[in-house]
Amino acid sequence: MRPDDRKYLDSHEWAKLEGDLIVVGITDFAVEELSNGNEGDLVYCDLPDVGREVDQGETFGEIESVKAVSDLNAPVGGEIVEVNADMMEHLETLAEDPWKKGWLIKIKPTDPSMDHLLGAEAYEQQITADH
Amino acid sequence: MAVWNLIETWDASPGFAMGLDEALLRSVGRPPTLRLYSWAPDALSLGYFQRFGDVPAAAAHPHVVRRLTGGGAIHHHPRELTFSVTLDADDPAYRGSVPDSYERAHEAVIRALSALGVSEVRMRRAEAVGSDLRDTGMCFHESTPQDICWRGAAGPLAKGVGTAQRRTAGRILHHGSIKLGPSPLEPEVATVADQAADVSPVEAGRALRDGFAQEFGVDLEPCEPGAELRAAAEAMAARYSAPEFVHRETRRQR
Repeated sequence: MRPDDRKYLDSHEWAKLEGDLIVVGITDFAVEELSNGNEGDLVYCDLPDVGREVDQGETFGEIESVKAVSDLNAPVGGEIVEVNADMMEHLETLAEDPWKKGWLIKIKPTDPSMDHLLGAEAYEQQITADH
Repeated sequence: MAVWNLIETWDASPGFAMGLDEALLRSVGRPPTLRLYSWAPDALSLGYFQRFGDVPAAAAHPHVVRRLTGGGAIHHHPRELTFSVTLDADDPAYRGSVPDSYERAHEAVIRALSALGVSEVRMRRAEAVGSDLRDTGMCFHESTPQDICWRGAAGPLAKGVGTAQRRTAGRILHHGSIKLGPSPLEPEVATVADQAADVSPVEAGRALRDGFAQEFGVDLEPCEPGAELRAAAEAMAARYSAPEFVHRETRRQR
């Protein structure tokens, strides 16, 4: 079971409320899909500049593995106020700790509601059904 | 039996070649499409995040484009077949994990190569290959366990097919390049001509069509890109060779 202190997108991003910000990352499942269990397979992560406004569901970045280039989608709309710049140099952190150290961006949300996102159980069911 | 579209665009210009794949990728709801093509003029495509300066061959090539798919650079010359598969991410053919989708598509390509007379063609898995070279930035000089290999002219197992995927907005673009004959920009690479008769991209395309039909159990229905698709492709074409896209800076390491 994935952590239930956060919500999920069906495209495998997670969103966690911390104070008045939403922290965003990708799940261990996404990392596994991209890297085939080999952290060296993650090649590059392109993240946005601080200050960019994103809409809910909009692509805010892209991640490349030896298998595929995939979009990173914003679980909520708002202003990107922090970016985990270390991640672009140390993609292995994503494989080691996708839930904490592997966060990607922090969003100051226009609307902090995350009711439109999946709970941990629903996310779990979705990835089981899809695969 | 599911029906896929089959589009053939031989001697496509580099910009149009890439623009049509993007137009197909963005055509939500369109049936799965196998596209077979060759390039004229001869061109070099960079991976989506590659830095121009990390590909020495690019500086000397007059026609360079950037692909939507990742990975290394590829030389698209007259003895090469390029293909693309575009479909919804939840289509049964590609449903499941990214590696699984590679596995199935590669089985289709292996069927085609075997039919063309290439023997002992297989995915690399844990074997060593002679085509891995450092610092060229070329796709064919880096291999992964799922890459398709056979014994090349030089003797050792070598990579002969390059593939990469782009996944966006619930759709997938899967690019592939099959080497029919050698290129001076891609030494040590395995080619069909190393083991079998010299075939044209059109002949190799027929074998690939049959390989996909058999592997996925689908009918491939030939069709022309319609006026709307063609217009979309042409509108997108210029971006692929535009200096701001081809020379864009990224922080990607080699």
